[in-house]
Amino acid sequence: MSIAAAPQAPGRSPDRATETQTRLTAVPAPLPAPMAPRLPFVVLVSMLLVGGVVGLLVFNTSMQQSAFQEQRLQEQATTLAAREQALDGELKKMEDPHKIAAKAKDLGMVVPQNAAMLRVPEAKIEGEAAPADRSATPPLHPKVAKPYSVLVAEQKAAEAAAAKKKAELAEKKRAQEKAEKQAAEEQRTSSGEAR
Amino acid sequence: MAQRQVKRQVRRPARRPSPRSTPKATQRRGPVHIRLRVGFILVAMVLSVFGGRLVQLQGIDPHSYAAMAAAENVVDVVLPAERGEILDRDGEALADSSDGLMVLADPKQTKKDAPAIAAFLAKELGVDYASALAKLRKDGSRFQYIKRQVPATQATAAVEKAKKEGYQGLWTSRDPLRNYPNGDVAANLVGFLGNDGPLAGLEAAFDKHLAGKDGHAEYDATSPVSGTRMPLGTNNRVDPVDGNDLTLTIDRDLQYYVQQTLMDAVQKSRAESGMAVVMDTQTGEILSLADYPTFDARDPAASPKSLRGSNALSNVYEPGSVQKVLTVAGLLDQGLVSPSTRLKVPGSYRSGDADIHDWYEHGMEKLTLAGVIAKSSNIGTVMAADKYSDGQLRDYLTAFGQGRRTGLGLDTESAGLLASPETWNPADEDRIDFGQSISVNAVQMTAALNTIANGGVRIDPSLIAGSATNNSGAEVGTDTAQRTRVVSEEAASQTGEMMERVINDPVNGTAKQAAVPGYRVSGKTGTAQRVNSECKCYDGTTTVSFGGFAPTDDPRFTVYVAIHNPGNGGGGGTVTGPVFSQIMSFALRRYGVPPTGTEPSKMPTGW
Repeated sequence: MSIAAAPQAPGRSPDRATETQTRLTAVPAPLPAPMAPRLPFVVLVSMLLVGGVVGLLVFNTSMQQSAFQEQRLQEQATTLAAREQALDGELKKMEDPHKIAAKAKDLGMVVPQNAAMLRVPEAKIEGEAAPADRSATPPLHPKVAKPYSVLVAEQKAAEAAAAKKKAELAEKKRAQEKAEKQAAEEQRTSSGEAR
Repeated sequence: MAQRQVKRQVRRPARRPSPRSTPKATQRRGPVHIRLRVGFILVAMVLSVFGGRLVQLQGIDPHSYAAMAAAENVVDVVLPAERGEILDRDGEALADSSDGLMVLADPKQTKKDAPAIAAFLAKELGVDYASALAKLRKDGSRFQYIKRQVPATQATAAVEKAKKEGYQGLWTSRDPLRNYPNGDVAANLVGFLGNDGPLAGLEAAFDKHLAGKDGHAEYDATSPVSGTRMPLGTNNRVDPVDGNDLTLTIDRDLQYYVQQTLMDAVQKSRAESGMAVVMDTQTGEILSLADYPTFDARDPAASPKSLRGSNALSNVYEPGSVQKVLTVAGLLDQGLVSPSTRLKVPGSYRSGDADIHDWYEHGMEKLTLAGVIAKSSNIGTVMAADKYSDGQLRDYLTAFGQGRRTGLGLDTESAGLLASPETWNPADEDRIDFGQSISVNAVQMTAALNTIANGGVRIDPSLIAGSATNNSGAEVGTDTAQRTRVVSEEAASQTGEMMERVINDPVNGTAKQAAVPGYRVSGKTGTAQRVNSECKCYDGTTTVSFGGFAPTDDPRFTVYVAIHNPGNGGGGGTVTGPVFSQIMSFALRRYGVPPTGTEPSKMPTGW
């Protein structure tokens, strides 16, 4: 590095050197390499390094933090959604026509069997209005808890079960009789042999 | 360059002292080459252990370790798809879904506190104490269902409270909840969902449409227990696809009214069962389809299996005299008769090897065709229908939709029975004229009557608003409903007027009870002998029915009511007529249909 600053090498153009014959003169001592001051550079690099590491750390931590927060919010959302659903369900249950009909009945309301319509612009009444009585209002609940067909089906099932039981009993009895007969016969034959 | 210098400067001081210190160290630790060799061997040994382990991990069995690592931290969560709702025509829910949980127990942990926990669960979840106790004590089991389909809020609260009170071994798991807020309203159509799948009705028929597809999320978690997501870890997510809603043409409030009215009528007449259908005349939309007895979708187990569907669709029966309307409409369309055609109706009529009688004793009667319908004369109908040439009646009935499914989308629907052309014979045809020897379901009959109401054009009845594809791949709904002309507009309107005489003729009318004051109403009674499924014979019981539409000159609704085996011996007019009137009146009022204000028909019924 220090050589680089020296005059031209003698071997490179010997002719010209002889021609001009310039005297060798002392050249100023080579300047020390223009080095950038070290300290700022080191500081910069270490700051980058430290900054990067710390930044990464902070970033990671904050991501982890937000993951936790996400989970918490997710749970909260789930709870709230469930709550909303529960409330919505309650509302829907209240809208059940059975409930509304029961409430209306409590208030003494009935379904009109006939109503007239007013045509206001023509000042006309269409249809026949009749005072509302209970005739068109169906009952809220069946009078007989079990419908006839269910009762019939149940009765049939019970009859079938009874018949089956009876048949089984008869079968058993028959089997028993048979066994007895067989036993008696065996006895007879065996006693005959003995005789 | 500068960096290199820095490094050099750092290194130099480190190297320099070492040569200087060598002699002393050598003296202490032996010659250099021995130390080097020993060091080399040590390093080589360590490295070969590492190498061996590397081969073991990566070469021999890489997957099990990877799987173990994954199992340690990777969490795979199911992202539940929400099942579509079933809605009525106004968007009111007939069935909807919400988050539900099942409460589970590990008997190994619950055994020692079983009585206390059982009491706690009985109080919090309303489970049966004795059965809960048995489950909590079960030997050799680590998994017991305590209660399924519990609302999420209730289940979570209960389990958390249990933990707080120090009871171990209870946890929850996802178990979606299906709600039927209206109980038995339209339950016959909607069906219900069992613990493990749909079991009846539209829930079953449109399961694929409603179900949706669960998604899942797979990610690295900080711990598999907490499930907190690890940022920048693997993250595979497949979003769930929610099920589609199913909007019906049913009107919930009308359905309620129809069901209750039908229930009342069936009970009052001590009948076996009943069915009622309300159809929008102009669109073929079914506004209400009621069955009684029916079941509560919230508690299907309380009803026998045979009631957990729609008998109006699955049970076929002989329609009786309502069928005469179709027979006569065809005759009018062919121009073979007119409403004023005069008929001399004898007291008995020979057909095949049997006699046909009317429902009332009479000698020779002079009736017009309108009178035959008004008075519901079997003999008169058969006499008029003799004008059909071979096969014509069957063609008309097929066009009216008899003998084939209506295509509502429910596969439980029965097609009914219309004799095939090969087995068709004149004696049967005579009976078919007035609705015996043919069987139909209630919706088929409603759609056929609606053809008359709709000016002779039959519209496929539909239960689904818009369109939807059911499990067997059929696309059904109002969008796909076909319109086909069956009889001419004139034939239809004449039939309609003749049907008006059924209700408004003071002498010959058979169903004055079906009138709706202020409106022109057309209808027809039916009293049919029933076939007993056991003996395959007519067992003396009857099916009474009434079908009709209003207003006669601009029909908006077609209503059909049928009641099986009324114990009070009533007929179509007395048992089903009032039901028809109530339902029709309610529907007209509910939809704000004004009376047409025209003069009612005064067609002569006798001569």
